[in-house]
Amino acid sequence: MEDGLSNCDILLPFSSCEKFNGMIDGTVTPIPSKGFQHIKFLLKCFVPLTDLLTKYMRASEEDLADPVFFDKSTTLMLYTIAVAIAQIGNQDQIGKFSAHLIPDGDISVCIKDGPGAIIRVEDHHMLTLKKPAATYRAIMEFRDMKLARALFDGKINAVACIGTGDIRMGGMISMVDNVNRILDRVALYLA
Amino acid sequence: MASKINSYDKSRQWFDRATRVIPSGVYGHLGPAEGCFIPVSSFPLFGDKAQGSYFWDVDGNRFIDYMCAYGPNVLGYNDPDVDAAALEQVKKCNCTTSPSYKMVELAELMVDTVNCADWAFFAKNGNDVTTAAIMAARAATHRKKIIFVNGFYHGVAPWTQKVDYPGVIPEDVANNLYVDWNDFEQVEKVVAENEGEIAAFISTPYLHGNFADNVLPADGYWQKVRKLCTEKGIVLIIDDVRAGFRLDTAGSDHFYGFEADMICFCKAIANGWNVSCLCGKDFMKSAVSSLSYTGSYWMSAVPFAAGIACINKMKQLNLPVLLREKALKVTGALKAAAENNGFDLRVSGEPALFYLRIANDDSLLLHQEWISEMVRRGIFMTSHHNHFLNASLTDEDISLTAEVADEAFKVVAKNHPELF
Repeated sequence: MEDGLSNCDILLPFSSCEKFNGMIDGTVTPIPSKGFQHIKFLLKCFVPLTDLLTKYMRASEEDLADPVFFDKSTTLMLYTIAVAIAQIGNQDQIGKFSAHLIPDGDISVCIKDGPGAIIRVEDHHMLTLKKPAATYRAIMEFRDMKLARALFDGKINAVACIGTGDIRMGGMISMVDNVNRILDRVALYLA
Repeated sequence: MASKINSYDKSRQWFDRATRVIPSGVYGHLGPAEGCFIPVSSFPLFGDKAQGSYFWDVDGNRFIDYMCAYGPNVLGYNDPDVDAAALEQVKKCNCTTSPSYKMVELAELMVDTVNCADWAFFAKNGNDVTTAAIMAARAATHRKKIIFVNGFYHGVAPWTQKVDYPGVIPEDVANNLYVDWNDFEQVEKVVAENEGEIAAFISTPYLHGNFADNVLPADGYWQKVRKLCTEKGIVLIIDDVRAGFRLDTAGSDHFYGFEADMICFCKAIANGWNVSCLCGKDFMKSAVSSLSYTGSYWMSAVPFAAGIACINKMKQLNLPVLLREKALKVTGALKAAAENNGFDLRVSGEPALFYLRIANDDSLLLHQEWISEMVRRGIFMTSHHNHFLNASLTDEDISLTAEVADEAFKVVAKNHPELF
């Protein structure tokens, strides 16, 4: 499994993590080193898209009152967290400790009757696929979008939710356990 | 047969009430999260009463209990002899400024019973004494590092958790070294790489971790480890909290033909009256005396009185042999029921603490489903942990268990026509 692309139409290099974060924050305009002919796309589409990212990821209460927006925002958060879990498991020193205890297989992280992601583990390397799992070796399923959102926003505790049945776990629990340990570290990076 | 299927309305009511005032409602290994209640709806959440091999939940459902409170129930809940001794002591004193001489009597009994014991030190929980053992090893050797065996569980203090656990910081575990079970070459390598720095090697007598088949020691493994520890001045600590008294009343190290320097007991000592005990060889006595390590309830007399009665009764019954016989009947019946229905049920570990796993799939999903059907029909088992037996389990209980197991296998098979 490999992350990233070897061929691309546009290449946006960043000299530092701070510069990348600046693009997300809207303080840095990216200059492509390849695909300059697509500059219009960058300026008219890509940069505004990063602004929208902020709107969905740091949603206001007002925006969240719209059920359609709520679902889209929560879905985006699910995917972001699932991808973050994989990156932290692969890169963060303590995340790697958790990852080395996870056996191979697919972990389904999903919202009942809603979106889902697969965290695929192979030789302790993790990759997130943004689609529901047809089969899995372990599962962590949230009762509904509202509960998932409350969990993602840190308003409720996952362990308590398992007791109430609002979070269903099954299969190789040791996989779920260790993914949860990495999940605990997501807030360090994405808060 | 068609068993009654449990409902848990009152359990849920109590749990909802609990979540308002207790973090997670029921936290820890007896709760639905760590206890792996999969699904939660199949399991009782609160008990009401217990007797022998049974407990009844708050909805009045009776369970044959193959977890025995995760070990403390070794003679049967409310054993008349143990409880009589405890209640007799209650009339005299329990937790008092001047500790009762019952502590001395229990210490003498531990020294007489446990093969490697020249002394005994008492506390409340298993982790109290695993921590005491580690501290004593560090005090005695003036070394920092500790070797753990992967898959370990020695309690919940930060030193014995893992670096990725909430509330644990890297400094808590910075001196921990890890080896794989049964890999003596790896032990040798780790010892060589940390020459003169290792205070202790701590391990359970065999690998009885969760979520995985349990593994007995390879031939000669413990003898080689014992020799290496002696040569290198490493204190050998056996954590017998889980297996203690169930394999051998003289200690699980004795069962496997070697001697620990220190050995930790808890669960089975007093049949549920709470006491833990660290025993060890004479050369460690001074180091233990030097520790600043105590607790308000550690010298309570009632658990000591209960422990004396319990240990004497375990010896009288030849408990390890009794439990092994019962366990082989139980696991034999479960395997037969599995095979009759097309399931591959694996049984591992020592019989008295058997671990189960349906191996038809590699995800444990089928196994969790089967356990769920067992629990709903009044046979309390878990999908992630070894099981425990107690002396009061009868042949009738075992027959009923087998019948329910067969019914549960049929239900699961029917739910999965793609597999069966």
